[in-house]
Amino acid sequence: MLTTILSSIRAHAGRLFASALAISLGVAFAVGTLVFTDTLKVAMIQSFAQGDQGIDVAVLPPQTTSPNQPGPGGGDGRSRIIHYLAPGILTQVQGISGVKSASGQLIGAAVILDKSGHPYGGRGTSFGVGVPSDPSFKWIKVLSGTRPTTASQVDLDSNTAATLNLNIGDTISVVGKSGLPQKFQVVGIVSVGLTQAFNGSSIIGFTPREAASVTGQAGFREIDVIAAPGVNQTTLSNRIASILGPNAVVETGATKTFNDENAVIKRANAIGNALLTFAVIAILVASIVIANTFRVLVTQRSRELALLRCLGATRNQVFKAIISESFATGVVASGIGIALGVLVAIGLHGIFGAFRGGGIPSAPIQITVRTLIIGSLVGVVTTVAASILPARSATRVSPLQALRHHSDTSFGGALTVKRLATSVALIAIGVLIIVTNLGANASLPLIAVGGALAFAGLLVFAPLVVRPVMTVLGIPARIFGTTGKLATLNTIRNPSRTASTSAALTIGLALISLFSVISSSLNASIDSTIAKNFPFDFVVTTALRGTTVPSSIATSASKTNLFKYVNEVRSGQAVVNGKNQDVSGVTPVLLSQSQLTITSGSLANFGASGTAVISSSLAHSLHVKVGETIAISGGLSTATALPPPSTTTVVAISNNLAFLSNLVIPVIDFAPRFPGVGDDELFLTAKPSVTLVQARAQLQKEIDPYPLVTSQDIGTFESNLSNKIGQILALFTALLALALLISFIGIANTLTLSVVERTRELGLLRSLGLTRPYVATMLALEGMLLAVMGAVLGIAIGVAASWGIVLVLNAQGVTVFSVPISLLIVDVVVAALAGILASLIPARRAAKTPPVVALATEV
Amino acid sequence: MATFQPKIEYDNAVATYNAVKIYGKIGSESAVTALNGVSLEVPLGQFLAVMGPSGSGKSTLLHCMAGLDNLTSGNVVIGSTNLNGLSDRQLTRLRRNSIGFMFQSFNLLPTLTAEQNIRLPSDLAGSSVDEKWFTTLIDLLGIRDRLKHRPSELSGGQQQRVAAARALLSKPTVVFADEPTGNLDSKAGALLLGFLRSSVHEHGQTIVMVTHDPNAASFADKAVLLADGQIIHSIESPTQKSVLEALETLGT
Repeated sequence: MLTTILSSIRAHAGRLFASALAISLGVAFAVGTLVFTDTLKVAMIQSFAQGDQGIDVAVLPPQTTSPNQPGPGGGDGRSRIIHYLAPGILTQVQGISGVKSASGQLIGAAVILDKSGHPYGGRGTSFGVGVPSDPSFKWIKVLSGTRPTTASQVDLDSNTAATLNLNIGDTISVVGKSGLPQKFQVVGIVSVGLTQAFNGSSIIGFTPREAASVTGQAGFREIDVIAAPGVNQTTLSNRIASILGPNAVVETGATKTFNDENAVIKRANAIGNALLTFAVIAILVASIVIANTFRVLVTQRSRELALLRCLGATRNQVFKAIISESFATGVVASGIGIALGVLVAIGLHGIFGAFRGGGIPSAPIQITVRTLIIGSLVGVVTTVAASILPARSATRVSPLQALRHHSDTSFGGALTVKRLATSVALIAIGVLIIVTNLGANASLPLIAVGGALAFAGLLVFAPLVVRPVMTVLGIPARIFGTTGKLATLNTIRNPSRTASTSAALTIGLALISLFSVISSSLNASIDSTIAKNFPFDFVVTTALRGTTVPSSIATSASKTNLFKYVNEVRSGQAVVNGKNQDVSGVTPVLLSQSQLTITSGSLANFGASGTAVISSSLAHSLHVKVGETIAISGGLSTATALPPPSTTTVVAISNNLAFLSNLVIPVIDFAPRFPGVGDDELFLTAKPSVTLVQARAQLQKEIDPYPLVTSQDIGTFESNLSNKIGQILALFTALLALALLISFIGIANTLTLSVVERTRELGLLRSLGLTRPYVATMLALEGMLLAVMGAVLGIAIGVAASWGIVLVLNAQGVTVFSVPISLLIVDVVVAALAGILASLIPARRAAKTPPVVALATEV
Repeated sequence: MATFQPKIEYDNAVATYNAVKIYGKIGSESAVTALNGVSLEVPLGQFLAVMGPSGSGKSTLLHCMAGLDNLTSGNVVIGSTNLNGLSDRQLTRLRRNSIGFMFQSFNLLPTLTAEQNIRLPSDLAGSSVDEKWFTTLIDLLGIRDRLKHRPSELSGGQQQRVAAARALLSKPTVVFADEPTGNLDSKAGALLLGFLRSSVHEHGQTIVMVTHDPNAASFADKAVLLADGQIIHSIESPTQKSVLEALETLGT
């Protein structure tokens, strides 16, 4: 029996090639993701290891509560609560017996200006750090040159130095907290051990004192301790912990390394899991292509299978023959996929590096046994699973077909009660699973299962819509006359096959259009939120996360008398009723202009010292109502002495504070609690008597000395936010590219197989006078129709699904349902072109069919 | 028409009793009666030719006798097994052990060599091959030097002789041959028919052959003529002439 199967594979190798390629690409994505993740882990662990090298005890800031949990309606996801150790703790630690030396990691915001005076690296990718004078602290390693010893000297990380083409001896401009550029001389090039913050960032190293002065950051992220000779890590750690008490978390070097590695692995896994989602989609699409190929092959070989049955093969043997064939295909495809996966890993590294802007750490490519096993399992299991249904239908081939001269060509696609019921049941169950799992504790895997079920339901239904859809789509094809008509009819003659071929593409386009519509709706909602809530002319912001717009700009802008409103928005972290909480400090009039939805209380009472507006989610978690008080203490942005707790009265509760924090207090209360903290944003409105040009020019003059500060017209501000969403959409599309490629391979594959099947018919058409270009055109039109149908169905599903999602997200501020029609039309056109491209090889083959085969008795 | 009592006749390789086959829904306008009460006993060691014009039901008779198609009513018995109500598994076992097939279009697997094609049924059944019989067969058929070739490298006559070897290798109770010479020239056809006849006379094989060629029928021990789903004529030791005459009476 084995010889039969193997010889059959050899004979059909060509036909199986395309479907094997589909699986290979799916496997490649999965393997690529695993390799990429493993490599990233190793790279990050290496980088962390540098930071932890030689450290006996690490002193870390206390974590008062679990950090940053954006709740529905409130959390904006922007803030990461960063804790600091007060400077006094370093002095305290240095005085503890058994401590040989201790050094604080001082890390704050500072950015280097490139030669044209623009901040380098953009938002959030630049830090100023204090370089410890003692080389025993290896989180900063000098590669060449020296450590900064005077206030005017700095080190640069090697990436930044290379990118900006800076060398030792060069003079650079750096902007820190003051917002004003300062000159420094580069004295060394360093490599910096990775911490959570340093992922691909650019690093400027100052003397510790100068670092504090430039960045305005006095506290430490971490204090590293080296023990005196003969002092045990654990002993010292315990001693330090008992002295510092609740002011710090103390870990031994070993524990710190262990924890850091775990944190790294967690983060890499999170990235890996997100990528694996796309790999799963690619594999799902590939499995549709595989199932389709095997179904076609079974149909084409029904005579051969019937013969085997005549000669005494049992159904089981036929089933096993098909399964063995798919097993062998799976094994070969997995092998190729694993090899391709390494290339994918390199590609992913590039994509993510480009997306993050600053690049990501790299290490030698990591190929583990686990990856190889998973890769082969995924490929083989998917292929075999996808061929089970076709193999089952193969067992139903009647032995009588061996004696008949024409195989039965009655195909599925009839509207049966069973089909309709199955379809409706699958969709209903799928939607039910999705709906019940939405909300606060959404389970993504379950939602995916629901989505897959609903999609399967649609697939069952799809053959029924092939005829009507193709009839409509075929209308434009009629300009090609008979060729167009034949092409349309060819797509209708086997609705099941047409449906399942298009289905592969439908998945990809459903997801893309889903995401397009959601991001478009998000954009439209932001636009409308901004338009509604921030009816201002200008927005002043800063280019570097961690820095703020100096408050002097607001002051001087107010003094120009050109502006009707100069509204400030500041943010910081405080402790509210014992819990860490983001706080916004605003110019009170901002809120009343912003038309926030107030669920209880009134904004009219907001503005006096001791008043606050909070979000309904915060009100819920703190159990407070309008008129009740909350206790605000702390101010975590600096580690200097904190003002005493103050009692604040909640005057209004809103269920949508837009991009403000869940707790909003007047700027007059914010300023003393967060001394020296500038504005995140300034919203300005020109006086009616002043032209926008005049106001803009004056504003530009105010911000000119501060390289990080930019002023935008409100429209530009909006479009910048949209750009960010556009970038995510691009990344999403890039990750789906492989699934799309696979679906087009599926189209090419189906066409090729149908050309093989239709050899006689094509010969007949040729002998009846259809010229080669017409045959090729016919195939191209078929490919195009298949692709367009897949795209149109996908978009229909995607738009419908996103409509549901937008409805659900309404409470979260996505209030506008916006369909990017032109983008979706582009999708269809691209799909049509790709469909034509997919038809090239089969079309060549079809065009080469000699007319004489029409007369041949045996095909 | 006389009603036959189904009886177990061990001397028969295959027999049908009052076989009726109606295609389509019975009583509806589209219903077609392909077999209308065919009773036929083929004793062991007989070479039977089934003849008849197109649409006479001869192919249907072959399909039903071989258990490839179900009768609407009546019985088919192969050896001592009544095919009525057999499961797919039982039918498969029957095909393995008791039936050989030959087809007009040879139906060799294009990917297998001649020898692999011949051994395919026993491979499928997982049974051992009588190697002596294998050697005898390939020598009788003159295909010894063709065993390593693939079907595409063989002439039509050679392909059909490979198919004959495949059908006979397991010494089945009966071989069903569907127009075996339909795609062969007269010389190759005669060679094959001569072999089939000698396998019957010298080795006791039973063969049921459907053909429309009077010359092919003349190699058989007996010829039955079908028209409109009924046996209307039966000729012992047919010659080309007697068959032609019988066919002519049919035509008029």
